[in-house]
Amino acid sequence: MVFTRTCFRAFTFSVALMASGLAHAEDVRTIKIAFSVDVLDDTQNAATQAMHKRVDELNASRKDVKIEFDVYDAQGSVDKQISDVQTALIKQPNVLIFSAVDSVGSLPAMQAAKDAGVPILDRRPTSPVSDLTTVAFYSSDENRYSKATTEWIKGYLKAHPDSVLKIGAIYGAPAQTAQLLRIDAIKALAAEMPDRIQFVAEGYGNWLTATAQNLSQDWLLAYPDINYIATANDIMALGVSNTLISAGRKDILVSGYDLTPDGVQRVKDGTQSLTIGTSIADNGKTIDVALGIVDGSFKDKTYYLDPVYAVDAGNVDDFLAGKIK
Amino acid sequence: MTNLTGSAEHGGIAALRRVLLLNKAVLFALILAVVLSVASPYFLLQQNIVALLEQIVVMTIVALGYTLVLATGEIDLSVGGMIALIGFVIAKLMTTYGVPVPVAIIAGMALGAACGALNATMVSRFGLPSFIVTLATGALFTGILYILSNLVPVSNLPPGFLAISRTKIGPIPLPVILLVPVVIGFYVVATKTVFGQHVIALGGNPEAVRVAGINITRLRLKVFMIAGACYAVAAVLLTARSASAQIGAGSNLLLIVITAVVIGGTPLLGGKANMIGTLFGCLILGMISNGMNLLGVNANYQIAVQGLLILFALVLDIESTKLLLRLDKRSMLRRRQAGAL
Repeated sequence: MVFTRTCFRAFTFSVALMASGLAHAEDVRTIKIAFSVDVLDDTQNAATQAMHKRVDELNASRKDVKIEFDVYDAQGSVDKQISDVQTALIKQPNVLIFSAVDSVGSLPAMQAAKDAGVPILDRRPTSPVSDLTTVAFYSSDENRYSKATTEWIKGYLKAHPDSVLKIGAIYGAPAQTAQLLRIDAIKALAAEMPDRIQFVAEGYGNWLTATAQNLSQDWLLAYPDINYIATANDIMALGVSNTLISAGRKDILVSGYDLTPDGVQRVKDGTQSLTIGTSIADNGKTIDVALGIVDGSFKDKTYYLDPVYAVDAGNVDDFLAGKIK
Repeated sequence: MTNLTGSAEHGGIAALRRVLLLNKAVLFALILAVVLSVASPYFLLQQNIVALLEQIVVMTIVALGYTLVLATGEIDLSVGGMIALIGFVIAKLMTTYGVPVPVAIIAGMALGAACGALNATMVSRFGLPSFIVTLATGALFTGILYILSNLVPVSNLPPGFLAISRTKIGPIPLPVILLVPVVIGFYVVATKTVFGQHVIALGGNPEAVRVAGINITRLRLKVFMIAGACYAVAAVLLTARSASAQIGAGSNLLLIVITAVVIGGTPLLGGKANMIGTLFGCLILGMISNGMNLLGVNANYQIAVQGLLILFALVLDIESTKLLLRLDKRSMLRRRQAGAL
């Protein structure tokens, strides 16, 4: 008899517990965020890690939401990106974070999300911004990057009034059109200041250190007066830096993008002149904006990740000490 | 008498023609070198020749190992993944675990051989085509690299390791000097050893090799392990040259290497191994890239020109092989006729 009563009490208690658990589960809203990334290179990976970190922070601090964050790496292929988004949509995400492999080629992927009623946070918006985009998120914003570069060059030329820049330019991969602006902006400046800036050579480094290294090695011979090699990212700037170290040349400027730790360190060491970018750690804000889109609290059409840093020998110590904001 | 002299002269020309056709990569490289030296004043500068050789070292070492693989009638698509993984492991061993440079390099070579052994075992044990196996293992190696590295490259390599690429003997970088014994070694292996003969025989007629009682499984294992060790050496040189282990290192090598080997005279279907041809195939590709950079060819045109030149080299290869066969046939007929007389 006593045993039966005990069993009954235990059963009642369990049911009560389960009921409270269910009630609690009903209060927690699951938000699914899908991220289709163009290529998960070390820079994009670092940005993705920052997003993962932010998701973990939010899941730990907010009791009302549970965020599920899925990342799909298109590996630089438009075709794979379209397939990735199709797969992601099967899981019915609340929002799609999108970084296009190609601004035109990847449009079908965005269209598919739009058709499925999934809002799009575009981390690599085109100019003008596509109608398919819900929020244009400017992190590695090519326009602001280009502006920072040209401003830096103008400053350099002002400080060196006798200097004429003879530039060799190393683009990333030809299929990735957005990054072309990083070099093309310097070309536009050269067109404005033909007596101060001249392009002597250009090539594709395909985001590879070794390719950029070979290219710059050839240029040092073919263009003895070259005095600035501009690259589209820090990985390729490393190749140029290796060439210059090998050749014992310290008179040639080298610039890169993305503000990678290695890139910043080379600026500190004096083997790279400039790296431009936003702080990778700040990319966690992408998640906050994505949540804002889902709950309707973020109403703007654009978001700018600030600030864009131009780190050179003059401010690298302050940057590393966190004094530049 | 006149006939005899004429016949000797004819034989001499035929022999010369035969030598040139057999070494068409050498011929094509020479033509290209002449064209580039006329077109660019920088091409023949000692500094450029050294730079050119330095640029092709990694490609050539991979291509030499690859020639053995192709000679057996197999293919290896795991090159890129393997090189990046080995480079990362070596760099990580040195920077994180303080492993001495020589030990890390040996470990990398062992890893390369092990990866090659995995490829060979999968092909032999399960009878799978190497095309599929190495496609899968390539993805496996890349995946392991991504997991281990979290896509973060390894820098701050020890000076002793960086010295591999930065040391020069006279004007010549150490990797270029290291290439010489490697090429000679591969040439000797392919042409003067029983192992080399077996490799070529396996690519030409695997059934005959099997009937002859040669252990094909063991032979394939050795070939893939040697190739893996070559990729490891290439990974060492690439990592030292880049002064860091990059995640994308070697990702562009596969197609370049296959092209160089085929241009060099080793057919895709196997049965031949022309190591000197491979060296010159690499030199041709290096010269095309170097030459266009020196000539300031527009970057977009470079891609098209590169494709056209490679196509030209491949067509030249096919056509010269046909010509060689015709010459052989004609010479055989002539000998028969001479015998009949």
